[in-house]
Amino acid sequence: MKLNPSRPERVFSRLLSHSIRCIAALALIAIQALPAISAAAETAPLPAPSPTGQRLFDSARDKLVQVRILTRAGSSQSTVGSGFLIAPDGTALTNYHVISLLVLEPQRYRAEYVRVDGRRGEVSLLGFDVIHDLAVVKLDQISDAPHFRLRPENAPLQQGEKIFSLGNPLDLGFAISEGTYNGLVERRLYDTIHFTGALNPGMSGGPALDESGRVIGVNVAGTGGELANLLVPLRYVSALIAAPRVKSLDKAVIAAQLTQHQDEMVKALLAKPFPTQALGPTTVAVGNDKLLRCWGQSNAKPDKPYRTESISCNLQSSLYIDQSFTTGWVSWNHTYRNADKLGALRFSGWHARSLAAASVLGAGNQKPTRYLSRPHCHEDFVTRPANAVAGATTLRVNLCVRAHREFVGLFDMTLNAATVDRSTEGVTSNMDVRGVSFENGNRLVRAFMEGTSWTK
Amino acid sequence: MDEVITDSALAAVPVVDDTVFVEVLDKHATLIERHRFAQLPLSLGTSYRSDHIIEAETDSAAQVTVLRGDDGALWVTAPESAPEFWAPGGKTRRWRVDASRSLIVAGQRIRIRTRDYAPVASGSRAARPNSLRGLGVRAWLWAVPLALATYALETWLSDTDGERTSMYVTGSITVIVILALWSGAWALVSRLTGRASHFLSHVAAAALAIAAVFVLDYFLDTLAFSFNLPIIQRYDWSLVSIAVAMLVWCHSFLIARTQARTAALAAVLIGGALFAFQGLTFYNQRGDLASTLTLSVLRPPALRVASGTDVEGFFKEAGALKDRAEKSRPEKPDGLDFGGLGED
Repeated sequence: MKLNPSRPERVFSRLLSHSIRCIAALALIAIQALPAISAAAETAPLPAPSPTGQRLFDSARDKLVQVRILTRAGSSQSTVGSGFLIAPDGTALTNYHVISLLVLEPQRYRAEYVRVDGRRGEVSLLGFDVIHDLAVVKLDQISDAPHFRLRPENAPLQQGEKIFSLGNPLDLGFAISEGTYNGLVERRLYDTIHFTGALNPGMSGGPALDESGRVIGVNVAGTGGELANLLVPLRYVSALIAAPRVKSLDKAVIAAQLTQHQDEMVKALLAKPFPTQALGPTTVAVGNDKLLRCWGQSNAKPDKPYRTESISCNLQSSLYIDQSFTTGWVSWNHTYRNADKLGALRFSGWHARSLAAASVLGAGNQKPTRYLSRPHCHEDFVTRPANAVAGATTLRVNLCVRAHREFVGLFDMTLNAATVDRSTEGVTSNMDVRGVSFENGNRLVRAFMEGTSWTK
Repeated sequence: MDEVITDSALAAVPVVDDTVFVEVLDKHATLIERHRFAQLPLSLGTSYRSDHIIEAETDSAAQVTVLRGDDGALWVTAPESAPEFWAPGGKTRRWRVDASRSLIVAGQRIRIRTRDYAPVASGSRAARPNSLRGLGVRAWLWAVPLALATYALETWLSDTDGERTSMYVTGSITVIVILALWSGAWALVSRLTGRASHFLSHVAAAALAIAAVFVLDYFLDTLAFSFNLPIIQRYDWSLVSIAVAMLVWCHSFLIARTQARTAALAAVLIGGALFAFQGLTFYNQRGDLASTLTLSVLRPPALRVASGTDVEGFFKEAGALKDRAEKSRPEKPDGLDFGGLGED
């Protein structure tokens, strides 16, 4: 119900005018009203269920499945998600992140499906798309089954159109969630649908339907915001279904897809010269604002002998490999520091410590894992000569590189740089690039580094 | 018992044939006291009948006699009832005095010398005066303030949020407590190995070490920055181990007067243990970017001597990182599994 804004004011003035007289009466009314309220709560009719939602859920019952990843040793449940049939022979769709353990550790995990009526069977993998978080699976013991139809790509949805998301949230049971289509998410490397409606863990891999029950996307992720969630658009689903099947679905397939992703990511980021932005008396690289989201912060307190300004930017998406490892993204930050009152000796120490702390706490600082080697670093003073736009700038630069263990040819890079040519002011910059080829990483890091220079 | 004399007094002693010096030693043959006796025979022991009462830990009343034999040499004779007697050569009860060797009488190590062997010309370690011990008594008066001052300087350099007196006070108290505990432990060692604790000497040595480490660390960091030598910062953590090893040697050899071998062993053991601990910690943190960063120390531009490369040059040199990272790919990611290196 939409609230009338004038109503609270009227109630308040009436209460004031009758306040004295009402004190005793209110108490009496409250006592008398209590049983009435609870009785009303018991008898009040629940909001009528959406007829469309009811109809869609009824028709989707036989086409929905819960996908469970189980340990081979004890059949303990390790991951649960949702899926849906797209062909009568048992071909179904889900998310890659639901079945990732089947790809990464097939010797330790297996998958099974559970239908709404409780029937269950084995799941085998037909294909996956790490970039868009999709997977095609085959459900055994299913033939001639009802399945979902896909909405044609030439029938685009309108913003505000009602859409429905189905799945098995939190392993509680199958459910339908009603919401609206709100176009594509801004600042994404790949198209992603902005779904305003409830999406909970466990619904990943479930279908998102239009009012006529056709699939318009696949549930993929929450954003952390209330009711702002993400769906994979249908065109990626169609591409995956149409893609030729490969015999061996292993880490080599993931590596090939990651390589393709990093090419597209770097190409998009370097499509134009790196945009720069003023930060104190410097300019710093901030990147393509159609892909990255940046946040700024200023800290100048009268009781502190310094002031700082900072900018942080990051790519709004990353690729899920497993619970402990995401890749295929970049982030960076710059901090300008000015501390005339500290003096040159204390400023230089503080300047360096702040950068080191940022490196330790930063996203680029990880222990060696099964996915990453330890870092190898190169450090030097780097001087950029003055030009028509910028003054000469000398930086202390440290570049660290880790190789991906499982995905040959991909690297993580971390750049830390600090200006060292002014006594009581300077800029520190930190850049983390994940899952790129060495050459692409160098191109990105170099473009980033060349964005920093003094202007005054 | 005759009077106790000092080295300087010895030079003035006239030459007398039967003059005998009995030197009381600690268990490492360090000279503790020297007594002069003008007549022979001489009896040494723990009872009142002795010419020299030895303050032994054991209560043996037996005496030994020092007398000149027919051969003109000095001889020490011990009765069978003297259980705490030992002379070089083993189970002997009569021993020809060798001025260069010590014997045990009533449980106390002593050495017997005549005027001919007067220690004026002696160059042995035990006979040398302990100059550091004497210095230490005075040195702590300036060494401790120096340590506190360097600590305060270090704190001030890293205190960017405005001076907070409490930080300096609590830090100084911590330094003093650590100094006291460390020196106290070494004083105990001195007391066990010798006859005095030399607490103030130990305090002075430890305080000087603290000041030296602070100064040297700052100097090395500055050197690394000025001349672009990241290798210094990469390995300067070992400075603490080396400093501690040297300090232990100083406490042990120079102040507690232990044997050279014992002092060296203590230095190697304690310094080595610290080195190993630090090394293993760094090895365990090898994946930590902070352990590879040398940017953790910068200095004012005026102190920079090394010239920088250009962007092109930097990335040319950084090209080697690709091979290095790929070669480290097969390493085991966790733990100290050295055996696993090289396997995938």
